[in-house]
Amino acid sequence: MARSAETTSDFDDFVVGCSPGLLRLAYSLTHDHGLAEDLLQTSLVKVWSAWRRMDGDPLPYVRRVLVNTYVSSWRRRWRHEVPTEAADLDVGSSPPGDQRVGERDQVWQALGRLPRRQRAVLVLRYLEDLSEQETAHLLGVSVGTVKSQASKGLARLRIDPSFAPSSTDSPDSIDSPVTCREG
Amino acid sequence: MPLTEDDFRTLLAERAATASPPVDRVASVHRRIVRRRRQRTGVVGAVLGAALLVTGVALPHLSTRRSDPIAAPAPRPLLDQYADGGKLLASGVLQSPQQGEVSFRFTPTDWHLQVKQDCGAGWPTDGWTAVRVNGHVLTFGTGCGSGASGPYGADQAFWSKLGVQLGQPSTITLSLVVQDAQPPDPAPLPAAQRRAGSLAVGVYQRVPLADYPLPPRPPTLQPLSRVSGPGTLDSRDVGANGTFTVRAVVGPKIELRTTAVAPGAIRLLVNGKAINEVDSWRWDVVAGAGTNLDQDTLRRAGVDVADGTTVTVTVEASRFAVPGWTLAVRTPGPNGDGG
Repeated sequence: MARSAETTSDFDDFVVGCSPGLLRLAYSLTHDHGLAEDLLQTSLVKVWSAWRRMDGDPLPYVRRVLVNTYVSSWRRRWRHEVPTEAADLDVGSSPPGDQRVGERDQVWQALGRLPRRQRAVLVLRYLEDLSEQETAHLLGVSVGTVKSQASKGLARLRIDPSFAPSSTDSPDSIDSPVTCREG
Repeated sequence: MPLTEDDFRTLLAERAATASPPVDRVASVHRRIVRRRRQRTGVVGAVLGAALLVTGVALPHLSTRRSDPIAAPAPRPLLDQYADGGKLLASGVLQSPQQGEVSFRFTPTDWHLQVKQDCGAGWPTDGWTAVRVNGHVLTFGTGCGSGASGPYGADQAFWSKLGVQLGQPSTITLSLVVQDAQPPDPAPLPAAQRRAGSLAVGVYQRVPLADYPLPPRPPTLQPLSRVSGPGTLDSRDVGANGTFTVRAVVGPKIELRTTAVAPGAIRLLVNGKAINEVDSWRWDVVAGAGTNLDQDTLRRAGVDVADGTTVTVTVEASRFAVPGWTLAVRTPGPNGDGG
């Protein structure tokens, strides 16, 4: 199907302007720069087929495609590639001055070992700052599922117990416009 | 002291901001789009035939030849005949609003299976679907761009739970369901609410790398991070193909991390026992795989070792046209740090 030059130009502008933020999201999910780039490009190729039909800001839709592509067993084709059930966090013998750095490294590694959906929920909530409703809408699950997955994920990371997902999120607009800025 | 919420947010923001290799993303995305379109053109006949069979219209002469450009437009969507190391075993196309459900059968001969969905032009991006295998829900949610379902590794346990048996036909059903529908029985979408569009679902079965139509080498290869030091192998140092070994100390867990930027086959062994086979069939991605082994897994593979034992990890690399792979052995210790 032929595309107008304007459609292609709009798509290219979107890729240039919004890719940095999407790549950060992809990297937070995959923990690998190469895989993040591949996930991002795979998602953009999928979006291309729907580009002409989209109204308004395409970023929420592209983000949804990216996260759902990741969650739905993308690239999970190797045997034995399964997330560990328990995060091995033991700050044990690190020198006092390095303990904070060691903890942060361990939390990052433990995040990478979470099941994909739990990881996606935490990244969407605490990196992308989406509300529980927005996260639920993006993943195609209920708000209850988002709360449950966030709670389980944080428990595995052994984050401070006082850091609990809020149960009284304000009902933000699900499709609140997000504008991409160049650079 | 455990991290606070602010610490966690800061951590995520800092890690997400780490630099990645520069790429010409616009050009790369467009190359992928062109490649995808070319691959799909070759299966127009097969998908058209499958769709007509599913809707009860039999054609006496089905063909997989390229579509005649003067003929009627091909039905959308189209699934690649080959994708991610697999060949399309069977597929079905749902045309909404005429159909709310489509079913077809497939007979696998190998457990390396994957189910893929794709949407055609016009498919509502928020439309919900459910895919069942032999009546068991495999996936549900928004149907467009849902990627692949099921592990591609030989996972008999996974597919057996869905009632799949090698050499026996199984049924896949793609259904339109209401939004937020949940298993075990997602509610069908009322006919009056169906919007126009088409959606395809297909089952892929892995084929040997020798039988897979590998893409041509591009002018520029993906960047491959160099690895060095104990427990690593870099094909740029040891060669593209051959048998290579490294020694590693076993801890509670051991991870064999392979990375490839070129098509080829890698067979991994520990103390001479076959552990995994990882194939790469693309030039345009940095394909990474982590083969995670604990001592139970090693014992089941015939490698009986205790904590602190030194093992020999062997890489058998073949069919690489360029030295485009690396191996890094990590043995996380009790503190979670890598070895």
